Amino acid sequence: MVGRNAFRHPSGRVVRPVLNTATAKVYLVDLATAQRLEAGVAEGDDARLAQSGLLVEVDHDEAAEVIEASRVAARDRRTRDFVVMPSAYCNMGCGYCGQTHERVTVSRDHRAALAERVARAARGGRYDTLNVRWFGGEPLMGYAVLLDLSRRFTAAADEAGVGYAAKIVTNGSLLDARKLRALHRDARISSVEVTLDGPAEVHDASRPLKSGAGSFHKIIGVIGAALRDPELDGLHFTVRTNIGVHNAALAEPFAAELAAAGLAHDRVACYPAPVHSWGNDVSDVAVPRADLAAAEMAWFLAYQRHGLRFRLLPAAPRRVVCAATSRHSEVVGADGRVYSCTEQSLVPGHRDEDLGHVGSLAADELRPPGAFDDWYDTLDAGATACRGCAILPVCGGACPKLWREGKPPCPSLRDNVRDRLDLYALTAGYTPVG
Amino acid sequence: MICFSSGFRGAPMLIDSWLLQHAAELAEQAGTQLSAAAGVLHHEAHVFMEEITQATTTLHSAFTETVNAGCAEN
Ligand code: SF4
Ligand code: SF4
Repeated sequence: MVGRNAFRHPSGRVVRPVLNTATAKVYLVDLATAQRLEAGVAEGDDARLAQSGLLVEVDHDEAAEVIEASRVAARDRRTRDFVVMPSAYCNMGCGYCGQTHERVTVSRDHRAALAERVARAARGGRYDTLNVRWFGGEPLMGYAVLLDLSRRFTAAADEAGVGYAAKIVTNGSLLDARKLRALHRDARISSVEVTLDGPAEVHDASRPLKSGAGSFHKIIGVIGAALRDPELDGLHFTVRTNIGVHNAALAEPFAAELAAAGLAHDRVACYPAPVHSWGNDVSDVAVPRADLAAAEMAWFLAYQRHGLRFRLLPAAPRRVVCAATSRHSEVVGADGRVYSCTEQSLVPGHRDEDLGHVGSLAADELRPPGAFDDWYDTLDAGATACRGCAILPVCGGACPKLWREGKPPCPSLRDNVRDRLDLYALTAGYTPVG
Repeated sequence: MICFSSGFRGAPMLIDSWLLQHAAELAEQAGTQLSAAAGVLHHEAHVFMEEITQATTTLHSAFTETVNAGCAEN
């Protein structure tokens, strides 16, 4: 993929940025080479381009190689992933959410069975690391359960001598300094992802607490304070913004508010994600596909202008597209039912796609086969558009579930990768040549 | 015989001259926030190619290594 604009290199050359999607590496090349890469004209001295992977043999099936590498990565994972929902309830009522929430008691037996399952995975000798992601509903509605399970999981990992990593995806409204310290110190959570949907009034309207109150200022205040807390200096934050028609044009005031709260910080990374359907109707709020790529660029520009940290281009090829495609990953709902995909447990129409109950599955065994374990065969067979797609190595096909529902989930990267490359060159300090 | 890896030509320009509009302002900030892992691979011949893949040290978390498409898994 070649950027659209030319830049001045310090050596005086005029260059354009190029992304090798197979390796996720970015290069600057001279204009003639850029043109040849775009036009597909090879010349005698292209050995170096071939070496970097920008050129490949014409009979080389790159897609097959990428898909095989993914298949192997999903099969041979040395990390065991557990996505755990300590609560099926959420204290927010976001209009676009596709989950239904209810209060469920995470029973003592279910906790014991899950802890045993995790301990067996740790002890089995198959894995180097246990990776736990706390999800919901709102996981902090099950704060006590989360701490209790974390204590058992970390003890099992320590006893077995394997690594332990944990992340939480939360709406952020229940966070405070005391909980953050416990989550970081006791539950060994190193990354907190919160969703903020725009400047305060827009966030508070689009993600209202069930009580009707807002949460924006509280959340950014807690994060800002956490960044100054020496006990939390290993904790990272991710700020996701669900982009819909309500906030697509509000990147600028949003980025300004975050920066003013001290979130332009090396331990805070931001990203925009389009509001998407979980099976529910989001047509009133979703940004039309044709406008998404441009909207996303506007968000990146605003992040950049206000010093927020973000990633323009993927840092590595994406081998395992998501948890649902590897049997070394499983999702455990608050009711103890086990799934392969995170958008099944609380989603009407998918709740019965569970693969069994944590209490009745054999604790030593991987989860039973799920709907998307054959994802790499599906890709290879050309059942989606991915096999012929230039960004397959860094995209991985995005979402097997949406493909299967007949809704191509192509990320906007597909449409704005050339613009992202230009912004990438710009932010790396190169001057555009008009 | 060789052909071009990932020969996708891309969509038409999304935002007219956005880059030039923002260039001066953004370039000023550059370098203080992002470090470029620059290594000139080959200066000598007529193909000029330099890797500028940014160092990942200041950015964290699984998402930043991948492309987001919707669900919390990505
Ligand atoms: S999901 Fe879309 S963008 Fe991603 S690899 Fe498949 S076709 Fe390409
Ligand atoms: S299949 Fe789609 S919705 Fe399910 S975990 Fe994977 S990316 Fe998420």
